[in-house]
Order: sequence, then C-alpha cells, then structure tokens
Amino acid sequence: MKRYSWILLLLAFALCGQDAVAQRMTTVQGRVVNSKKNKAGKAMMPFTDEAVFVYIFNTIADAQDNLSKIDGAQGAAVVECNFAVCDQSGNYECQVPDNGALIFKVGMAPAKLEKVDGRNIINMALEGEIMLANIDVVAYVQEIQPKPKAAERIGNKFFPYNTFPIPPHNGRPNARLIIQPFIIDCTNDDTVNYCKPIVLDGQDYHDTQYRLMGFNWKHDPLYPYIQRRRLTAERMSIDWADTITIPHPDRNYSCYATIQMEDFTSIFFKKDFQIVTCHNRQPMRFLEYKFDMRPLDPYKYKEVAKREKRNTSAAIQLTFEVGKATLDPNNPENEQNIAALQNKLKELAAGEGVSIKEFHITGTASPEGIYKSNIDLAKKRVDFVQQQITSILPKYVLARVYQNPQAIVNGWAKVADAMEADEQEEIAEKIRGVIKNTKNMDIQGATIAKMEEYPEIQKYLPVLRSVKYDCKYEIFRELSPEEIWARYTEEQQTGVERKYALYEYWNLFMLEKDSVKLEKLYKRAYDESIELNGQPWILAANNLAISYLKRDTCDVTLLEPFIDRRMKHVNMVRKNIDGFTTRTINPEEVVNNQLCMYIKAYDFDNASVMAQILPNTPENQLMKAFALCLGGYYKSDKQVFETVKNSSPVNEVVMDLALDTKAGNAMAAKAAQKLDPESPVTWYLKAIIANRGGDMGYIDATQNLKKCFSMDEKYIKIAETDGDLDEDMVASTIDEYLEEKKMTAELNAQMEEQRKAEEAEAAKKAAEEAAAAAELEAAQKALEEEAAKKKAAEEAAAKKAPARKAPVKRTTTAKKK
Amino acid sequence: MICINKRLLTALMMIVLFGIGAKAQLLAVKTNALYWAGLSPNASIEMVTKSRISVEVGAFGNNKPYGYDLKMTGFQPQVKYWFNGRPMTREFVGLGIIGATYHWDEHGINHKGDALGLGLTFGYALKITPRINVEFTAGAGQIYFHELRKTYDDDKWTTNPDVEKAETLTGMVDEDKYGDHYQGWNFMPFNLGVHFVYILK
Repeated sequence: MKRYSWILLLLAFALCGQDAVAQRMTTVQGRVVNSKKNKAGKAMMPFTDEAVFVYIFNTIADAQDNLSKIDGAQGAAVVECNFAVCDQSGNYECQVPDNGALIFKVGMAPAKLEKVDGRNIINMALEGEIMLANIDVVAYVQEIQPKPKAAERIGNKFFPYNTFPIPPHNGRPNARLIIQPFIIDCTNDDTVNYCKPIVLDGQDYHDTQYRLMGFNWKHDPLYPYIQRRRLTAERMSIDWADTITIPHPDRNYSCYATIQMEDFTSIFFKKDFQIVTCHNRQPMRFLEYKFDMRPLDPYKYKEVAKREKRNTSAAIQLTFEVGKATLDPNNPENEQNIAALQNKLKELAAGEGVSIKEFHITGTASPEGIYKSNIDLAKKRVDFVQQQITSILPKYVLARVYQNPQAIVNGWAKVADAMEADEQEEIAEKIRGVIKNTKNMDIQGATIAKMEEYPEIQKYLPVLRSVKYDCKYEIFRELSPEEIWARYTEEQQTGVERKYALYEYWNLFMLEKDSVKLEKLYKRAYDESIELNGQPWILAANNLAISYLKRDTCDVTLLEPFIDRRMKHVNMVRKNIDGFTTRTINPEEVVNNQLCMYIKAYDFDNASVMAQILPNTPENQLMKAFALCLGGYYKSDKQVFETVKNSSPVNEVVMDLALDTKAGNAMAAKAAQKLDPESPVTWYLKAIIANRGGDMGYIDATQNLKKCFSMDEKYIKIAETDGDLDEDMVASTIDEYLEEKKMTAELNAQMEEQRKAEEAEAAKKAAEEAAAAAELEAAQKALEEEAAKKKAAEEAAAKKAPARKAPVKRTTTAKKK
Repeated sequence: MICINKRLLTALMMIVLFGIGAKAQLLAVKTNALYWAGLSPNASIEMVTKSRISVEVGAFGNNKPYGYDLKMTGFQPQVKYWFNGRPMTREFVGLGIIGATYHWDEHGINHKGDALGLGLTFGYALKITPRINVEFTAGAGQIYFHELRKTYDDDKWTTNPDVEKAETLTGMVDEDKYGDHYQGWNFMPFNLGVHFVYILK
C-alpha cells in the first residue's frame, strides 16, 4: 500500500494542478424567475419590476468573499466585477470561467451563489420578496387638483396621460362630471387639439338625462364619451390617456383640462388645470438612423418616345455666270451645294415618315443691262435649279409639294448696300444719287455704267446673280438624346423654359449631372406628367423624392399615389383596364422611399404602415425596424427592438432607456460605458441614466450634463424641456454651468491680461536693451571712426616719415552686446 | 251651476291636452294605487311642458266599492312645478282642481251631488328605472259641494211638504225634488296617493 501511496499523491497533485490550470471561458445562458407569486398571482415568472443582476466571478472563493457585500446592498455598483442584467423575459447571457461562480441578486432579496461547474445553462429561481406595487403616497385633499405629468412623445405622436383624483363629496349621483383635456403648443400657447372628453354620470343624472333626451341618446352629444363608471359621492380616481397627432414635432406640447361638474340645474364646479407639463419625454430623440434611399431602375420605367411632326428647313445658295443660266464655274461651292441638295432631297424622299411640304426657289439676276432680259435670265436660272430638283424626286412626291418659284432682278440699291457694307461709302452714295434721279432701271444701269468707278462696282455684281432655295419638310420622328440635350442647353442659355415630352425628360435625367438642375427637371417632369396624364410619372416622382430626402426636405404626397395600403405586398403586377398593359402596385423602392419620407416628416404612424408593406428581406430589415421602432412598436415586437438595439452603441442605450424599467436602466448604464466619450450625446444619455437613479444619481447627472453642455451648448435647450430629466436638476445645472463658464472666461481673461502685461514688460525690457546696445554700438562706431581717422592721419604721417611705425590701437568687441 | 262647471272643466282639459300638450317633452301614464285600494279605477296622463313644469289630467270612478252604496266619477287636472330642474324627478308642488259627481247612501240619508275643489299637493317622484317612477303625493284643498240629501223611512222618501203638495197638484213625481239641497265648503285632504308612473316617451 505504501508503495503506491506516492503514486496516489502524485495523481492527486496532477489532478489538482490540472484543475487550477484548466480555466476555460464558457458562455452561460439561463433564465431567472421569481419563485414567489407576482402581482398577477403567478409564480415562476420573470421579475418585471426589479433589475436582476448576475455577477460574474472567476473563482468560487472570490464569489464567496463578495457574497456578503452583494447581499447587503442594492444596485449594480457594489463590487468591482463584471455583471449581466436579465432582460424583460428574465434571460441572461454571460462569459464566465467554467469553474467560476455566479451570484444572482434581485432587489433586496438575499443573493444566491451558484457554481458554474462547466454548465452552459443555469436557470435560477429566486425568492423575490412580495413585490409591492409602486406606492404613491397620496395625501387626500378635499379639492380636485390633478398633478401635472411629463408625457412621452414619439415623432408626431403625443401620449398625454394623467389620473384625476376626485375627492369624496365632490361627486353626486345627480351630477355629471366632464373632463375636457386639450393640447397646448408650448411655444405660442395656442390650443392645438381637443382630446376626447371623459364624462362620468351619476346614476340619477344618467337616467333622467335619458328621459330628457326623449329616450334617445343620440340627442346627447356627450353620450359617446359617457363612461360605464358612475359618479358617486365616494372618492374616485379617473385614469386618462390619449394619443394625439401633433402638427410640429419640433415643438413641445402640454395638456390642460377643464374639469366641470353640473347637476340638474347648474354647473357647480368648473376649473382649468395643467395636467401635462411642457417637458415632453422623447425616448427616441437620440436614435441614430440613416436613410437607405432606393432609386428605380430607369430602364424599367422608360417612357415610350412619342413621334412628333417637326418642321425643318434646308437652304442653299448658288451663283451663276454673267448673262447665263449656268452655274459659275469659278465658284467650286456651287457643285458641292447642288450635290448636297440633291443628296438631301433623295434622303428626305426615301426617309420614313418624312414629307416634303414646300419649295421656295428664288432666282435673282444682277441689275446691269436691260431689265427685261434680266428677268428672263432670273427665270431661266430658277428653271435650272427646279430641273435639278425634279430630276431626282419621284413624281408622287413632287405632286404633294407646294412650289413657289420666283424670279427677281436685284436693284442697284442692293449693290449700294453691299458696297456700303464694304466701306465704299462714296460710291454707294453716288449709286444712291442715281437711283434717286430716275426710277427706270435701264437708265439707272446706263448711268452707272458710265461712272468712273464702274469696274469697282462690277466686282459686286456676281453675288447678286444667284438662286436661293428653301425647302420645308415635316419629319415624323423622335428626337435623339443629342438633340434633346442641345435643346436643353439652349434653354439653359436663353432662360426660357419649354415643355418636353416625358421621354425627353427621361433622356435629360440620364444626361444632366448637376443635382440642383436635376431636381428641377424631376419637378418639371412630375408636374407635367400630372398635367398630361392626370397622374404623376413614377420615375420622376421617385427621383424627386430621393432628391428631396437628400437635402432634408419632405413631401409625403409625392409617392402616395403609387402605394395601395390595402395590399400588404410589394411589386404587385396588375392588369390595366385595357387587359393588355400592366402596372406595378407598391414598387418596393417606392414603398421604401415613402417610408423614409414619413420618418423625415415625423409621421411614424404612416412609416410603420409602409414598414408593414415591405417584405422581410435582409436589406429591408433595418429600415423596417427603425420605422416600427419609431412608431412605438418596439415594446411589443422583440425582433424590432433587438434589430434597432444592435444597430449602434447609441441606439443600444436609447432602446434600453426606452423600456423605462429598472432592468432597462441597468442595461443602459452598462451599454453607455461603450459609448464614445468625445460625443456630447454620450454624456447627455449618461445624465438621463443617472437622473433615473433618483437622488443618488443627482451629482452624476449634474456632472454629465455639464460635460455635455461644454461639448455642445445646443443641448442646454434640449435639456430645458426634456421630460426625461428632472426639471430642478436641469435648472440648477444650467445655472452652475453658466456660472462656471463665466468664471473660466474671467480666469482666462485675467490670465490673458497677465500674459499681455508680461509680454509688454518683456517688450519694454527688450526695447531698453536694444536702445542700450544701439548706444553702445554708436559709441563704438564713433571710436572706430576716430581710430580710423587717427590711423589715416598716422599713415599720412608715415608716408611722410615711413621710418616711423604706426601704433596699433585695438578695440574689443566683448563689450558689445 | 254644475253644467257651467262641467263645461269649464272640459275646456280646461282641452287646453291641457292640445294646447299646452303640443310642447310636451315627456308623456307619462300613471295610476294611483291608493285609489285602487279603494276599488276606484283611475288613470291619468302627465305631460311635461317646460323644463320645470308638467301638467297632469286624470279621471277616476267607482261603483259600490266594498259594498258601500257609493258611486262617484270625477277628474283631477293638476299643474306641477318641479323644484330641481328636471321634470318627473324628485320634489314637486302641484296646484290641482278636483271635479266629481257622487251619489251615496249612508245611515238612511241619500247624498247626490257635485263637488269642485282647489288643492295644493306636495310630492316626491322616486325614479325606479329610466321609464318607471313611483310618486308619493299628499295635499289639502278647499272643496265646494252641492248636493241633495234625502232621507227615507220604511222605503219611503221623506220630503218636504212643498214638493208633495206640488206633486199632488201636478200629478207628476219628480224624484229630484225630494230631499233638501245642501251646499258648502269643506277643507279636506287632497290628492293623496301612491302613483305608479310609466313614461311613454
């Protein structure tokens, strides 16, 4: 036996050592429930009114050491260790060494230590003390006096609530109590909305009122609001809550109520009370989200180009030989022009949807010579060109063309004009003189031909021998993007707006790159589509919506026509009445963008409706969750809550705070440790968390708020009207902050003054020193000069007497400063 | 005298029913349980004409209740003022008229005559359900009566000698002429009752 004992010993050591070394971290999950009955009378349910803390210890011994500490206190920050907090359904999850221990603690109940022992699931039933409901100690007053409350607000929804205590002997069986709450805008004291009234009838009043109304309750306008409860002389307390849509989500609102009691003959009580303060609680105010705007595929919503008749014209000019109906061979442009004209005409005649409407050919002759022969010449020239045209155009085309050939002789006045334009004013003046003398062109020509300057004049004549051709045709076609763009740029230059067809807008959407101009285009296309089709064009509307969203503007009417709220699906394809074409109802992109739009408009109710239409795809998940969360569905929908919570560290804190429970607050406190300390929101949220800790958190809340204010003073204004922060605490904090700021500023000013004084002194000293140095230098210079003079004198003397040695005088520079 | 009274009462009733009645807000039928206890069937209609005022018209009659040799018919209009602003609820005061013709035998004296009186009633309407009330009333009034009293012995009318003389002269028997005419004022309880009220509309 002894032989083996050392082996056993070794084995024992080995095992122990292994035990000490093998500390693996494992994830432990579990659920903590209350073994006693809760308020609803059910046992083994999660704790709802108390935060359940799970403290994590690496070793059992450590846990045992801390057990008594934890047992004696309430709240989280008693021991320096990690902890987890159970969620609403009592679940927790934590990382703990597999041989560590957990201590469970809820409220004032004794803490419970549980060894992990390598388990992954540790469920726990704690003996919660009998939970007393939150007790409001009410000193019963004899008068009706409701206490103002801080109401919650989410987006454009305001949730005023209160309890109206009716002390004994105020009510009577033969009386009616009417409570009429109304909402007041805190910025201008305007009445915004009347809430639903509460009407409580005494039994006698109720029955006789029924008689008075002729046994028809429809005659009593207040009947819909009469509660089942009857007014008696006993003490009563009437709970009231309402949901109001408010017009300006950026303002705060309060609520007043007129309380009135009347019996058969008279109103015996009437008073107004403030029942909700201007300090609104906005749990979702700091929620971080960004919009995921989705454009529509433009190729899916491309408008079919509509062909239109367009008037177009082409013109050429040909010059001719003198006295002949043949083209001027010296001008090479003539041949080119004729060829171009013929090609163009061929093209037009062959082109689809083109119809040539009019030819205008005007042949002109120059004025020299006899007028009659000139006219004949002009006619011949016209015929020449006409023949050129008719030779290539088919007969059926020609038959439908209005032709208007004209032959004219250009007068000498034209020559004069041309010369004047060429700065030959003198000759032009002379020609004009001739024209004035006689109207006969033949005489004019003869006179001018005799003039000295005639050779000069002759140079201008060939231009006048020409044929002008003008063709008008209609093209039935769509514009190319380049043409559309050209028109658009022309419009941009001239500033005169014109109308475009929708497909032209479509092209412009693709071509224009400037966002401001694009938005204008979207708006024009949107307006014009309504004018044209009676309903907006989905692509323009969606693009416009995205453009608005990008610059924080909202208009919820833009996309509404494309959404059918009765359909809880997206991208539904429906046949139109014609039975052939289809349209898409609730395009996913549009529903998504409308959701964003509603969020921007603070209309979270409608945003939630949009969220319900959107399918549960991964890309929609976050946007849907935000909409539903802002719409207030986070309390009922766990998935929404978790999705939003996990989207960012700030959102995690915001969502935990929104739960408004002790457990939520504890989780928020934990999550807040991870926030960026450089952001003012962090400190604001921390202030809210501290504030919720009651009096204990007062100092923390004050400190956090001050830190937040010092980072960004806009939070002062937010805090002033925030129902999540204690009013008095905020007021004193702001005072303190401003005081401190003032003091710091004074201190800084003092220091600055001191610094300036020191600087001035230093400058003065420096100036003095500089002056002294300058003086010294001057003295030195004088000395040097004197020495130089002396030297010069000596040298001169030495020249005279070279045998004599000049004495050397040295000046030191050491004195110089 | 009595004829005039009857006409007057009819007129009053007409006014109540059609004149003022047109403005009625509530219309109720009611009956007095105390009268029924006296085996006197009775019924009345009550109409609310203003928020504090209602008008009631009723009739009653009986014939030999409990073997008494009594026969009576009459009617009882009344105007009520309701104190608390809601008609047919709680306290009221009423001013009423009673008109009746009666005929009864007692201790060998036969009474036959008419009565007309004015009385003040106080009452309380107790609401049982929105449509049913129980109304307690009591009052007093001054009542004028005018009757013929005849006494008889051994089934023979004892009359005054003048009438007998006249009868023998004319040979006609006018029973009404027998007996003595009496008239006078009586101060007596008025409109005692426990009424069951059903509000029609």
